[in-house]
Amino acid sequence: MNPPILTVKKLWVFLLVNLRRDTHGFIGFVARYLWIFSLCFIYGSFFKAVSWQNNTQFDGHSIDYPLFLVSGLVVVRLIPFSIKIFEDILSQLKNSGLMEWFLVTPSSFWELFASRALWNGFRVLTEVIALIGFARICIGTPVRPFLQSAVMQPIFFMFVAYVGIGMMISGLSLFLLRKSNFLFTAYLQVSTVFGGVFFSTELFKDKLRILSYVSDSLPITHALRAVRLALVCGGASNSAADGRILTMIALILAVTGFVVLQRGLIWAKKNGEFSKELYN
Amino acid sequence: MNAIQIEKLTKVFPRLPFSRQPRCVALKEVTLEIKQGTLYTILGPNGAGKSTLIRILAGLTPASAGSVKVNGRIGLFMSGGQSFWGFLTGWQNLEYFCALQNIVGREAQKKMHETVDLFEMGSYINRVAHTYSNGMKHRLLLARTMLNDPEILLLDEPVTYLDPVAAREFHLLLRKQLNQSRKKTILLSTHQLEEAQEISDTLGFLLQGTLVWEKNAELFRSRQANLLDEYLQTAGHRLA
Repeated sequence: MNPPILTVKKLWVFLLVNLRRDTHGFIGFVARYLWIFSLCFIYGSFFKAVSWQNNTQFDGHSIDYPLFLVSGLVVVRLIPFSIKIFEDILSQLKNSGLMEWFLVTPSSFWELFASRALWNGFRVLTEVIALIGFARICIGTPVRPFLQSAVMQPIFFMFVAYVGIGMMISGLSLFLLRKSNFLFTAYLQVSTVFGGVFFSTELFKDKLRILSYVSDSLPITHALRAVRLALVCGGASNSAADGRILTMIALILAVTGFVVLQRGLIWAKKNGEFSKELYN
Repeated sequence: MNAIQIEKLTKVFPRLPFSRQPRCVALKEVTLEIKQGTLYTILGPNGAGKSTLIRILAGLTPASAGSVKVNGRIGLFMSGGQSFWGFLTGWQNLEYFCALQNIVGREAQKKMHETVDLFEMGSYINRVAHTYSNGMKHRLLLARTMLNDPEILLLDEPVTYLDPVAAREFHLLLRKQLNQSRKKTILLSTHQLEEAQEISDTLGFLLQGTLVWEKNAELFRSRQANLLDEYLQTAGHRLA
């Protein structure tokens, strides 16, 4: 059997399949972004209606709540796109019944993962741009700060960290768990609730201190803290500590995830565990 | 020269931890040879081990014991619903399948045109695949199997969901276009006895993981023996 060769033409064909599958044409593509408009509009109206606090306190700093919320939403949108790259491909092959045929081709899973990662990266970028743009229109959040490298750096490492977690869960599901969807959902929910997306994690004190340990173990918490500190202070100097922790977490998770998934794929292929029954 | 050579092939599915399913012996010391350019049909009731045999030959399932030699590129057709992208057209599906086979660009276009012509899919190849009839879907899947120009075709119950007319057409297509014209070696598993005896060179009967008999299909075509009687007698006798 020929070795896998990922050429630009091959990657383009895979990307087109992803695009056609996820967008169902131009109208679907536009509809995908309407929710962002609705979301910003709902939050904007909500702020005005209840005259809620304008500022949120965190790490001794004060930040406008709309800016706090939009930065949280932008970052949390990354999670489903990054964590499910691998599971998306594996479940697509399983659900379409293509898995058996795919296994006798010279292509490797990593080629499909690469195309999915590119496609998801594009979706993240466009969604983030749309979300920031609509937030500017609906609730007047400033656009310029998001262009700073001090903001983009933690977002990138958070993406890498969640890619690592996704690889780990997908790899473990090949060895042990078989059904892993609940793990992705659970991790996404925990990250959203305890990562400081909607409220500051400073709330976790006294009797709630135990929750701060959960919060601190999540990549999103450090990413959000770094992003918000950079927005408030206008640079990376105050967020350096969180940036370092996040970089370390991201590298460890990415390397471990890669090893676990690679081992899982080899093991499943060798033992004939990619059968439909395994996934059903 | 043999395209496929199997010696004392045994497959045991062990009892899974926490499972009530007992240990299952799917194949018991199966030995068979398939000569190049011949069409070998494997018959047998459900659960006889036909699919397991094909999966082992394709490298999807490891054997527990015995040896398997496959001399040539494999094309695989597994039964069990559609295994293509329903939201793509037939042509886009073929393009994707070509890419998975490392065939891209002009080479892919040429290969796809040849395949579409071979399977006479020109009238519907640009339609979205989920609108295809079962017969069209089967042609698309067989076309996919042919993209890497395989020397050996492993077909597991390819006509399960086809009506008798479409099933007959499909079997004749296999025999005339692929086996006789292009000299492909074909291992086919099917329950269609009439077509099996009409198109095959050799028939094998698998029962409870054992290859009970192998016979030249000419024997049945020349009415020296009746395949249905043979089938019922073997299956009935062993199952009783």
